[in-house]
Amino acid sequence: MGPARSDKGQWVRGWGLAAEEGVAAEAKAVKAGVGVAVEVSAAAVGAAGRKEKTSGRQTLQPKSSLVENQDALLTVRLAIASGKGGTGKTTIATNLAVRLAHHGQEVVYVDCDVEAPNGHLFLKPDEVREYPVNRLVPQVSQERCQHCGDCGRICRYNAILCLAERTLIYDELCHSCGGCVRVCPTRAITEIPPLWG
Amino acid sequence: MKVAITTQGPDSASPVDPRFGRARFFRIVDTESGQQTTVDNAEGMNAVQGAGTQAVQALARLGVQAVLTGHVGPKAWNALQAAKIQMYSVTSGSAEAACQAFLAGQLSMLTPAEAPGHA
Repeated sequence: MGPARSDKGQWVRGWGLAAEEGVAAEAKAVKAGVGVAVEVSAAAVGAAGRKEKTSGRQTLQPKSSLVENQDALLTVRLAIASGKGGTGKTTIATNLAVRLAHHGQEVVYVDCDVEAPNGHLFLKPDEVREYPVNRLVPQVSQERCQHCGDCGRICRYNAILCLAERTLIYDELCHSCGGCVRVCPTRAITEIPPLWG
Repeated sequence: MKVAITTQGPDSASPVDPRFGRARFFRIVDTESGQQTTVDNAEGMNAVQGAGTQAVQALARLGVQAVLTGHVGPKAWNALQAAKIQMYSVTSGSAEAACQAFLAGQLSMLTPAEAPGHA
């Protein structure tokens, strides 16, 4: 297995092997947004024990002294997405994650599929933790509401109906942008978190 | 009183549009003054969601008290009830004919069966 190569730089084989702090690959499934991302960080601790971190989609700069005295901690985020299902996102993502982990890289697998995340089926995590997911929807105090209609006008999702005597909220249409809370002149709108999943 | 008719075209000879929230136009008729206007609902027709609630909002702001249409979705149904706007059934014919039938008391009110629940 040779060194992994990016199109602008070159990973040196020594990087992965220099990660002696016992950084282990950890698989997590997180529900948020769309797409699948594999976050790979190459951690190497130099002789002095210092770590310098650059993150984001940085190109990997080739340096001649990399192997000997590598102090750089680089994070590469790979987003694997597709406009339709069944194209191979999970296949590529899980295999990339495993392959890079075998190279000694610290890998974080973030599964952003909100409907049917399945990366955990292939990666078989040792520990699974569940967190309840909430979102915020507006709640209108009918006493404070002055029926100005500003909240209905700012809502881009048609989730607020401003009638002469009442203001109705359609939770299922709300996208939790918080705009209505901000524009209400009498602060009649607060946000409540109905359980989402 | 003001009556709204869902139509496929902008004038009184246009055929009625059986859908409420995604109707192409709303023909607004003031039964007392006889004045008629047309509201373009292209934005609601193409809305990803909330077309019904948006339509009710627009009609409520105009002071409409009754709507003549064919099918009303569950959210729009709920919104129309809240806005105290009555719903009458028309599925074919011109807007003008629908208006005449309404004034003659020939139209029946929509029942919840015309408000199909869907995801």
